[in-house]
Amino acid sequence: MNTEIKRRTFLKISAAAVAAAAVVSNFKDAEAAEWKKQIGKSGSQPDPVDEEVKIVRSVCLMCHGGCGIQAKVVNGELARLTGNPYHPNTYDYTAKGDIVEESDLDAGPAGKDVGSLCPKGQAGVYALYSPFRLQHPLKRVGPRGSGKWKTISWEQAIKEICHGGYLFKNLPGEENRKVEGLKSIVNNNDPIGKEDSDYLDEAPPGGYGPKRNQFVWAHGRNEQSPLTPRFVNESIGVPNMLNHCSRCAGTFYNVVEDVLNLPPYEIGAYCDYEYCDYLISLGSNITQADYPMQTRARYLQKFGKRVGPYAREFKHVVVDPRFSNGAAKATHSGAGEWVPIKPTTDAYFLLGMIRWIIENNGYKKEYLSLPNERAAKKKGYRNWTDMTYLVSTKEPKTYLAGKEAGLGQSDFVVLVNGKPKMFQEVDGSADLDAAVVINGAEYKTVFRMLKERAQEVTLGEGEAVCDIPSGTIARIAKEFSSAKHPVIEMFRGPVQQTNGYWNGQALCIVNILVDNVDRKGGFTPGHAAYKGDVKGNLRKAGGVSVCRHKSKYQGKNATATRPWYPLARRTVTPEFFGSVRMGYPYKIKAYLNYYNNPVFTMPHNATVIDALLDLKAMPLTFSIDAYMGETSALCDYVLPDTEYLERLGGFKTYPPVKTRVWALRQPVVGSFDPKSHNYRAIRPDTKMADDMLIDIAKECGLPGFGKDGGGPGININNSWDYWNEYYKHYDFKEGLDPKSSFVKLGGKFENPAPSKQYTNAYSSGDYVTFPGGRPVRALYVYQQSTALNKNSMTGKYFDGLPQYRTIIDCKEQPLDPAIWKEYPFQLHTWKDAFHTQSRTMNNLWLASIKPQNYAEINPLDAGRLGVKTGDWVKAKSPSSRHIHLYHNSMGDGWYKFQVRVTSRIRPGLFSICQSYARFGAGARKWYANGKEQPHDERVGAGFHINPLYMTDPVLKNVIMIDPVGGGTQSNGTPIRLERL
Amino acid sequence: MPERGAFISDETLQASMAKKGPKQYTLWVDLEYCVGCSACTMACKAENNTPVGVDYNRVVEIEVGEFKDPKEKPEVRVYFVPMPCMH
Ligand code: SF4
Ligand code: SF4
Repeated sequence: MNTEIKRRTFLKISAAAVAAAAVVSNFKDAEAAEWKKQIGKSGSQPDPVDEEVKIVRSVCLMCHGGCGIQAKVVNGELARLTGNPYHPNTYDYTAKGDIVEESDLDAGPAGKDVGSLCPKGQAGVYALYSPFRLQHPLKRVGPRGSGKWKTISWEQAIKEICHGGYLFKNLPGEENRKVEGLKSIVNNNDPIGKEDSDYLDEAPPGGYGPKRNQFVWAHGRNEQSPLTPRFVNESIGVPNMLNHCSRCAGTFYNVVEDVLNLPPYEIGAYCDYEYCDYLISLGSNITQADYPMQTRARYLQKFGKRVGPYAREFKHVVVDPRFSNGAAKATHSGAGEWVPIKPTTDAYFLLGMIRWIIENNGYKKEYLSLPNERAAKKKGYRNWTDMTYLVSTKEPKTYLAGKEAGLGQSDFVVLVNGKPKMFQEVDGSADLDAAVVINGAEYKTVFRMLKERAQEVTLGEGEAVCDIPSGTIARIAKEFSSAKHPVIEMFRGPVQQTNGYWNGQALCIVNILVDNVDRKGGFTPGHAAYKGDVKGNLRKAGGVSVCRHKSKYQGKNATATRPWYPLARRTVTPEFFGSVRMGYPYKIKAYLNYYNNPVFTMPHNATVIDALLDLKAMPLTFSIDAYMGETSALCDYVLPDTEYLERLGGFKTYPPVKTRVWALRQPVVGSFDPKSHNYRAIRPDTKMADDMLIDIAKECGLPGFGKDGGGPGININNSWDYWNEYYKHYDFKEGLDPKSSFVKLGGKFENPAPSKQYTNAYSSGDYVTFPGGRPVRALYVYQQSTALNKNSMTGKYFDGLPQYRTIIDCKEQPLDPAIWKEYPFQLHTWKDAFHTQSRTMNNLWLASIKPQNYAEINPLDAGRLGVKTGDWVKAKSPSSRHIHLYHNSMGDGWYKFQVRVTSRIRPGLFSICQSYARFGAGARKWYANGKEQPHDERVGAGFHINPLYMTDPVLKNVIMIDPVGGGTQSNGTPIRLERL
Repeated sequence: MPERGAFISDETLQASMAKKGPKQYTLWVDLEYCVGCSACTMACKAENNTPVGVDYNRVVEIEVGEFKDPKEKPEVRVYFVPMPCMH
């Protein structure tokens, strides 16, 4: 029997053998003989004694969870991926010292300590050897999107992109199109003028910035930070580092940072599952999604429900339009519950809980009455809130300052027994539920304002809007506030909405009311990773980003042509695609797409497609991608990236892990040149994106890379140079020394022992110990910065407190209720555990778990429509239109879907799981040098949601967007359904 | 609906582990804690090197009950059953 089957050979054979299998049916089995031959004697697990086995520890990137991986490499071939047991995402253990050392675990090739990986993580083997991977740089030889390419050399690719010229003069219509190259674009420091913008009237006093801002970068899954921000923000020096956060969870992070007062980019807040006894998951698809999915699932199922001290009484309430896998587990033994809330109504549920908790004394009065650090310390608390601070009742509704109250220098004023006092002067409690008139003006405490806001709607009215049984909110609020360690947590559900920022704020407030922030068993935010550094003489980005995030509208007219997002800390990328064709706020010249796929992932993607096909609006476009992704397919050049198993870098982890982590990403296959440290991948003409960016920076003469790029004597000529330097500073020392424990363990890990995770130094109860330190701080229920900013489309101030609202447009107007008559269903989406949103259906290991998705509807609706599982329906929204790239588009805005009838979806929904129905990355035919390239219909199986999303009724061409947080309205689009 | 404890308890499991004499190994998956993620499907696949489209260990999802009226408390259950090939 042939036992020497190489992984690559295996994949090639197996892909070819079944390539003809029909979509929608099950997979055709491989020929028995061939299959037997492939399997060999013992599968892929190398025998640790007999064979040459190398263990390389790195970081997964099948999703953004950052789990450590342990690669078993046999004779240069990747055989198996398991969890790196040193990485706390994948394994629970206790080390001896402060920092984990190799001897703390038995983690060798045959060791007994093995970490876990989720299905995606394990399927990384397929990603590495995928037949769909690109092999050479490509230049289009037909119009954009024609699918016709030729391979070119790296020299030619870099030269043409950097120096421009008549690059496509052989193509009809482009004979005279001169393309400006990157070098002249990114080195042009003249201010953006009227030749670049018809909207100079809307620019802030400092203008839109230098002309080099006409370079736009957009990334999807960027884990090459801080190299990539160095390239965009500091080497080229532009503010246009667009990300995908608007469609993802940007608002979640934004609002958690604001309310819980955290430094930016410290990635959200989650439940401390082990010591929690009452958990509400609101729109958080725990066990199937969220970061890191496998770690949170393990903590919940193992610690929360099985071995934790409250496992017996633990109750999990899942508030979600869909009966998620988390809900299935919550109700499995009868202990938990599913509340099938109607999408977009979260504010009614959350403010209703706030109302009940306030009216029934379910809140922690002593805690909420603390006005400052001193008072908190005295009573044994580690944080305090703004609940007692006075706020003006007249716009702009700011906190009352000491000077205004005639008291002296102080940011806040509180009342003590009805008397105004500067907040820092109070030793004990301040008045919580109070108001006062000073110099004829009325001021109320934040608590009073919140109470009045919550009382605007009764619980019964709220339950009617949420469409849940009456009495639910009061019952859950009561159980929640009387539990020992209650937590309510969220992910995309409540925040990926036009009212999302305020929904997220309301959710944080529910937690604050019961004093669980930073608590052991509470709502624990933030995670500070270990950091390094690379110096250099760098540029500074200035001006306004193309999507106007972090920018206040200060134009001459009272309102702007399109929205500005002063409060969004992450970019609002859909709005870039919505405004680029009108050159708002200024025209762009070059677009670099890095590991990104807006054509597939953006809701209402028709707008993105229009923009990318527009040669005038986007004159030079190029993409760094390991596959012919949907977006790459519409670009001018595609540069073949290596997979995550062939990269250098590193990644942090997320709050459910409570000790410090920085995992090292390093190639598990391929090799570095011993002298130059240039990386040679197993597909020799592919390159690490890092190396491409460095080559481009050098060709354009940009600072921060190349000779002395990292400071005098420190040359940065490739990825290895950069990371070796990065890992020498701050929290690191030895660079990429292969003998260092950092390289051997695949990262630097603080001992994850429980003793490192909690502190009992406070008399009011235990807290989580924060790695990186920021234990003492105020929490802000009221968002003054929101209240100080105006909606650029109306000129009216935003509200600093959450409001009872569902869907709103960019002018904060509700949808016309008449719409629901014609479009009575609501669009809804979710995600499988074995996929990411968009980049795993081309992994045929994963695609085989569930060969296609369906549009899911409730039995009630199925009965009304007269359909059963497997039947076809057509669907449209008020703004869906024909996209030629979709096989199920019927022309005129209708799309065909096959339904699955299930009680896991509440009535009234049209629910489509993400990830399926790719039309790129190997799903469709494409050609290089006239030759058909590897593709497989299974990659494109199923149905996709994004063409259906409704656009903003005012702006018309872009998905509805949260005016504060910048997130998209990902659920709730009105839909019309008809049986076919 | 099955209540907590309907599955093999920790005590039963420990008692059977403590028994003397020759052992016969079984694969025991506590369905109460299985989240239906399919990591076992992939682990089996990678371990046994099966071709694309051939998975020995699949996870079956069983839906019980019907939910049609949002004004009533839903009585739906979903169970995940990993189905190893038993080899
Ligand atoms: S949760 Fe994400 S990072 Fe972790 S193993 Fe799965 S795919 Fe990889
Ligand atoms: S048995 Fe399989 S499906 Fe269930 S939790 Fe374990 S790996 Fe996931």
